Amino acid sequence: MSAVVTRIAGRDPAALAVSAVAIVIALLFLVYPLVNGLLLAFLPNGAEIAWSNITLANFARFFTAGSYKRALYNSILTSGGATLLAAALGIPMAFAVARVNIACRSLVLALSVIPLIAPPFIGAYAWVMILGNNGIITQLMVEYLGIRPPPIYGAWGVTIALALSYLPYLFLMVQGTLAAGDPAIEEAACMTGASAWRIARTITLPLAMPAIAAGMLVVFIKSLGDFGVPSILGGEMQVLPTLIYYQINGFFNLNAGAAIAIVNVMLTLAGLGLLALVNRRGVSTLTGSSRGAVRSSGWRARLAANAFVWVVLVLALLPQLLVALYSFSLRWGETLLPSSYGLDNYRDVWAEALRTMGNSVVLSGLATIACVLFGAITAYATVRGRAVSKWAIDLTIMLPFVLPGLVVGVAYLGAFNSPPLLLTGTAAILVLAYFTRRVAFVFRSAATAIAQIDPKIEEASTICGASWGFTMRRVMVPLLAPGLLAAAILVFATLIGEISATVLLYSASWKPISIAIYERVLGNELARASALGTICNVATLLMILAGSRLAGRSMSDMFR
Amino acid sequence: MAGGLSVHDLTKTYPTTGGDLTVVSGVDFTVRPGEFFTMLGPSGCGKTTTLRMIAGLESVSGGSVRIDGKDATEIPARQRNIGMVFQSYALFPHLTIFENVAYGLRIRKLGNAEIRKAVSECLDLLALTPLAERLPGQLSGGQQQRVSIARALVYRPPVLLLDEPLANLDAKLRVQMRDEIRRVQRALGIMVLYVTHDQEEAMAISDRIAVFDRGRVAQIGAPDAVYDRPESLFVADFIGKANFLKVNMEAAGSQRLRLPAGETEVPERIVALPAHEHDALGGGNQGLLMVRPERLVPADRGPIRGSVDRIQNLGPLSRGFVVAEGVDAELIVDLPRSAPRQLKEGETCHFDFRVDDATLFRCAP
Amino acid sequence: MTIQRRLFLAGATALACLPMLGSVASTAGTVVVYSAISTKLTQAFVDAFEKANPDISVQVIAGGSGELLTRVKAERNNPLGDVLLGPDADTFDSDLSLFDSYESPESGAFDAAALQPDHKYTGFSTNFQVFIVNTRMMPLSDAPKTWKDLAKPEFKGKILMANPAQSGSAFSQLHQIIDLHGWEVMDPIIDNATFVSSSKLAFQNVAKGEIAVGLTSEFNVLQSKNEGNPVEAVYPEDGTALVVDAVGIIAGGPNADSARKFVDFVTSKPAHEMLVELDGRRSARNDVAPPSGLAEVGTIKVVPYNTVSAATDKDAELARFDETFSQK
Repeated sequence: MSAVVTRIAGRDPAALAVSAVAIVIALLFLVYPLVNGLLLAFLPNGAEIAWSNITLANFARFFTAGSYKRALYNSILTSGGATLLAAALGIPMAFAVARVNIACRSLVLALSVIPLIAPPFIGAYAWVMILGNNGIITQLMVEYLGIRPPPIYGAWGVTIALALSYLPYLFLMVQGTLAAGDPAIEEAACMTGASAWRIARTITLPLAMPAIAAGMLVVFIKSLGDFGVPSILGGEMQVLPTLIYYQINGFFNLNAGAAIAIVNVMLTLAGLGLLALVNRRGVSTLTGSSRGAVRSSGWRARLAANAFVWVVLVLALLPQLLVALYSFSLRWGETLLPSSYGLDNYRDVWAEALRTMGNSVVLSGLATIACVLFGAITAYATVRGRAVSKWAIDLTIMLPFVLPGLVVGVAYLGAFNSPPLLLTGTAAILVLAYFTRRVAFVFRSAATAIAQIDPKIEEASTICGASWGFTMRRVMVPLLAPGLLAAAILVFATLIGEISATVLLYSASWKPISIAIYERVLGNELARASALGTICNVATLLMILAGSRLAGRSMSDMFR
Repeated sequence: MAGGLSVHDLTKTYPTTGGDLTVVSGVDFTVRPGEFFTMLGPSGCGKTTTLRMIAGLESVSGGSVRIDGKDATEIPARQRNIGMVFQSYALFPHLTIFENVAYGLRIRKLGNAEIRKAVSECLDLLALTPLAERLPGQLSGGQQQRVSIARALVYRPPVLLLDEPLANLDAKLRVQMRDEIRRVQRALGIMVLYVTHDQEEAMAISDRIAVFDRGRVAQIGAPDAVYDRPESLFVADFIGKANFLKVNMEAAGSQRLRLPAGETEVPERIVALPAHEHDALGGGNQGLLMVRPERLVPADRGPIRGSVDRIQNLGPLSRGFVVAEGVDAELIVDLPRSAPRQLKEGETCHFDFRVDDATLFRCAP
Repeated sequence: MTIQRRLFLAGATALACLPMLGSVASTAGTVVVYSAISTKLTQAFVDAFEKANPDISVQVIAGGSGELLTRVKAERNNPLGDVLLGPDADTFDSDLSLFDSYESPESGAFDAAALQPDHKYTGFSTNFQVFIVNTRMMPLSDAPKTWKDLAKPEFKGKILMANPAQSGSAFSQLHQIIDLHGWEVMDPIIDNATFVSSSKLAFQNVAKGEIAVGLTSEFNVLQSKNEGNPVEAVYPEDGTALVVDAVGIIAGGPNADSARKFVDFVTSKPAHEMLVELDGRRSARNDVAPPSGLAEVGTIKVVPYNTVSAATDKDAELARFDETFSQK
């Protein structure tokens, strides 16, 4: 069947033009800068690119240098731990939201996005202020319970902060699958006499495994690449991203940095391999059933679900709540809470907040549009076409997603600093960097969505006389639009807070709000940074809600 | 009643923004042990909702469900010990056929050896034994349907519910499968509640049929009762095909009915229309005479006269569509193709029928 | 609105934005400053400079020293920045070829120690590295008095330092200690101290009461104290070096003339008075008084800081540091 579609599309000039453009874009902005940058890994520091200089010395350090070995071990430990913790919290939470009639479902879903959109550093600082040696909760616990919580610094603090930061990815993905499941299967199990618990254990959970595994992979990848949390909460503990930062910005050794980045990628590939293993026996239960899965309404289930959901939400939002508190504080010495409050911080940053937020919206918006267009087209080609090597396309698109932002930033700087492709200093280079870092997300969503659409639909359109372009515009796009919307919104929202690549690529006339926050953090103006951070969170949240409303769906429909 | 199933005044309403929507209203019937009972009706008539209320998958707004003499209305679905087959089969996609069928037995904590025996028997009964280790995704529609039945029967429930199980199969398979289902039911002697919109299917395999019309039961009876002795226009028209002729009754006591091309006697079977169907008739004097297509024959003389518009060859019978004088709708005339006198397109002739084969519907007797 | 129309609008918007994404225009009236100093001070400079030079507008790219230098290095084929403001001299010394020589007319007001022999950079502020002590956690009488004291076993786990490979100021601390006392003292200090990735954390966490002692520059202590934190600065009695933060012109930058004007401004007395008043920094100029709250130079034992050896020995010292550090 798909061969027929390729035959139809293959002769259509519009299709050929579009694929040509897509290939050029892919080569130019995905392949070239990263290959250019990562090649450095095989050269000694500062050496010219030449065959005679190729060496594996940068990689050898993983066997000789203690700091390298420890960073590798710590990365696996904290990312793996964060993934498991996120699963332990996120899976029950997904069940609770998708399968129980909890209160304020839309609000829960909207709030759960906040940890993803919040710019990184502030959140990590907030953890120090909550659970640090002199943190709020620490002080409360010592005073009222007489016990001192273990120090937040080091592996356990990083693991917890990472888990809570990226848990929403897993939660939203699993929740969506559970909510869209075929209810008849569970009803059938119910009729044979199975209790709700048995159904969850033997039917729902196994069928949700692909989504769970995919969610865990995202958490793992994100944790591996996260720089903000370990740099602040890690204490002495180094992980690969901080090691990269150390090498690039400290030692100015791009080669060592590139080598570490490659090792980081290999860890990700290992994770992908595990995912493929789990998905071997994957079965899809998604139906066109608009009824969706049954939600239980028993009071016990509702009580447990509501309690669990709100506990996890509050935990995940604790840093941002503290940031909001801090944004109103005018003076906060050693006391438990600020000694004076006011709006001065907001007054001070308001003008800049508006300007930079506007920039962020435009930059992220353009990048999101690019992601959707390119991601959807490439997904279509991969799913429908006889694409020669699907894994090569997959890898090309995934690579910038899994690389730490710092590496992508440096690679872009290196690749586009000379003619004919002189893009440094423009807003375009930032949009492109954003695009490459997020296109994988849309690609995956689009691929899944396209795979679920019957190819016969396109054939029907073609038989009616429609050109490929017409079919795409009038048939495929409307069918895909809802599925892509959630991905697009997530991409947009997470780009607003992007910092690692931004700090190297942004230009003065297009300063995003994440930089404004970072600046304040660097200058130790934490209260003003908090004000900016809170403005950013609130504005992004409002945009997400507006976006889903404009598209005519409620939050819960969007993440189905 | 011991071992049977009954529903009393069963009602289901949904609250909607515009007010309450009643989909099932005051449904009453009793099913005897070993009986094959079908709920038949067009889409949206409430038959599936009724079935789901009996299963316990849908809450009851009013009335009760009694299973095996006990009130089951408030008992949760999983405790009712009922077997159910879904229209979409709803097999567990990640389990083998064997495990799908064994599922209900594992819940009942049977030993492995017992489970193996019971499952094998069940698979055997439905000719599924060679497929035991396959996954549902590898089976055809018909095979999946049989697995679905096996899964429902393996724990020997007293009742088996089937919700339009054959709707997704092609015509030939549907006929095969319905006979299979009937065969299995007879072999096990199990009470079956069957839901379908296909009246031919219902007639072929049921002991009794309950015809549903917009949330209410219009008539309950054996297939021939429902076909030969419909109690409302709805049932007459839904089951099989019916020709309706408007007639005016003459003065009271008269034994003659006037038809466009002649007269006929008042038939013995006179049915008072249910109140909600009175609109079909004009005044107290009007009636509707119903004659089935296979009871109309072309004749030299007869109370109906018309021309044949077109003829369909349906294999064993030939169906003619006749435009008759004085009659609004087309008449349908079915003749066995082996009959000597056949209709020809464009031909004009009279049609006759035996009085005993007709039914007169009127507002009051 | 149908999906198609929405997409069309989106696409049209994108196209319309393209012209906006043009390069930062190198018009005659611009200067691009890569700034590692505080937002407050940067903004004050920008306001004052633009007021005095109404035909030049200042564009600021902010970041940490490391990130800014990475930018400058990566952009060397096509430099986009004009001035690098605020990183310590070591950052400049790591690759002087990135910077243009320029002797500001104000150079006379600076100490020789604050000037680069080839005028590749000019001093901005000077910094003594001190101990920041949280007096609530540790009374001053118990606090370490010298660099050598830091090696004492009683301070194990009580000292916070930034990682010298990631922080210029931390590296200068490392270099000073080695200069003064060698590795026999430095090694135990490495054992005693906890290392964090950023120099900000080295004093912020002491201020917050997470740990008792930190190594940081004196103006961080002053700032923290002014915010109400219970901290005091302790100037090491065995000597502390005057470390210079600098400003320099990036080689090949797009607006050389405006860059020079900006450097003239930044090295002027009014600008230095601003940096004293707004940031509590110690000016590198001889004729500007230090902020109140910082110890007078006369009371401090100043030792020389050899920036050249700091630059040449950096790799070796950091590697040696890593050796000990990785044994921890």
